[in-house]
Amino acid sequence: VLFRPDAQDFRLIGYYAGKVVFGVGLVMLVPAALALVLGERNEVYAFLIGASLAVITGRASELFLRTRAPLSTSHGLASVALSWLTAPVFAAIPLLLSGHYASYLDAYFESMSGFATIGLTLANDLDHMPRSVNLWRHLLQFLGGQGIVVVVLTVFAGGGARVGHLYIGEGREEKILPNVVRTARFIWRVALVYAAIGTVLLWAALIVAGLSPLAALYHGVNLFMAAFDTGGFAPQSASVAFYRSQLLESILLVIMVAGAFSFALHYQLWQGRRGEITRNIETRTIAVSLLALFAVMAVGMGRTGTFTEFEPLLRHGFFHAVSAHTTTGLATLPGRLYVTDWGVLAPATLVSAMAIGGMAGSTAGGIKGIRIGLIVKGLRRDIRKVLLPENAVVLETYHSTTDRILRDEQVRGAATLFLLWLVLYLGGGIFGLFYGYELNLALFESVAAASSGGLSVGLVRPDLEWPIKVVYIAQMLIGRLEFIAVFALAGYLVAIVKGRV
Amino acid sequence: VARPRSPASKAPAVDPRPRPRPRRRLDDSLLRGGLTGIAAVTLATLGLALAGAAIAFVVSLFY
Repeated sequence: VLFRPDAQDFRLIGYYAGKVVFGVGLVMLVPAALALVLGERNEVYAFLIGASLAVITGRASELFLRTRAPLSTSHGLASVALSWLTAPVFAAIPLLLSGHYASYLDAYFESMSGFATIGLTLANDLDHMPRSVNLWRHLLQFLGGQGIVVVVLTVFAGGGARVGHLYIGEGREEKILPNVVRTARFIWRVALVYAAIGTVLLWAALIVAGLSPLAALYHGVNLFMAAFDTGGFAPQSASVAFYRSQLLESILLVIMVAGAFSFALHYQLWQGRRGEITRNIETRTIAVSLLALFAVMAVGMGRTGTFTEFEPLLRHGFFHAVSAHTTTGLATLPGRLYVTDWGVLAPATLVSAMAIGGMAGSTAGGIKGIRIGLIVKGLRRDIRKVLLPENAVVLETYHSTTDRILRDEQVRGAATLFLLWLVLYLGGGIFGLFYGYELNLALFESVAAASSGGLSVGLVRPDLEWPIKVVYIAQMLIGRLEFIAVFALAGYLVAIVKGRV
Repeated sequence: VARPRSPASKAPAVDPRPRPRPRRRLDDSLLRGGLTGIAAVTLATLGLALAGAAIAFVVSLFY
């Protein structure tokens, strides 16, 4: 059966993407208000222009594409992918008008990096960027981490049962509560409670580090959004190293770990089921993988003489291991040092940590702990089958909220996605090779872009060749939406190209 | 002679006033659980950091 979408299908997809663009336009009023308060006149105009264009476009698409047709899963998936492509188009406008980006492509790259919580930046002179623009970069991460489509539709459009298809499209497979709106509300509640407590703690640590109370508040809010949404942007170009504060780094560690926990796990913990943290297959997988990779990293650093003493090894090494594994991308050292001072083994562990990533249904990216855990369990079951007598029934179980029996199709699904992730990582790396970059650099940046890891060895900079920027944008989008939504949109586009409409 | 009561008169009287909405018990427990959840995440991070410290200590002994 050929896939033959009609005009009604495209209306539906455009209608929901329009709603998202409208919502992004409204959110732009937040940094506009800050610009007004701080007297950043140019930025006030920049945000008003961006917001107006987004609101007008969003409203127009709502008016012209309004339809009562039901939203199917394929519509939902394609809508999400289209929304994630179009929202940065408008979010990039104030960035471009700030004068800190060399081209519109750079501003779009920055917007996508923000929404997809990557953390790679193409900003020029970040340390002198207007505060409202810098806040906007961090707000993009907050919106993207929470899931822009679900956020916008639950906050601005009242939600409803139809949001369910869109929720799945944003890489959130697991409904925590019986309906999506309640699930989205819970996600908001977790984020806001963490925001309140986390920002206060960061604010206090920044004051201790020597910032004024107002500056500490500004940096604290931004750092919270960067850490909890595993985004990795920082208000300063030196990232966390700028503050030279162990206390701040310790608080950020907790916030990054919280961000990499799935909201389903948060729900269990908030229900008082603390045992879930030690029994859950994902937390176990990530804990083992994080500690194993950190051990290898420490040995690598010891061999090259980068850090041989306990304190810097723990402070810098462990922070980077957590930052990479949670796919946050905050750093306590300049990224160039990974290449010049860290040898080969330690940066390889960063790449591996970013590639694996956090938990499914969290704000983190990467392959995800659940898939690695299921593949390992499947492998163990197969080995046991070989070793035990032929008539023995071998069952493998795992715990994720409840005890479950491992099924073949779960392992197959996890393995398929694992392979797709590898293709995505390697594809970006090979593309970098075409432009003459060394394999280790090209692969590092490719994994950082696709997994939303965001640590950089310095390849991503304004003078990077534009085709690589485009490839990284595609990797960010595909990685954040975990393939399926992008494939659905591609299916509709192929249908148009082949004239099957 | 007492006449039999009609079925309608046997029905319990319905209070026409709008009933107060039941409190969202689930939401309340979630809010109460917030601090428990944050404490659990903090403890988990502390556990990881302690394990990391043990690894860093052992590695620093060798180099």
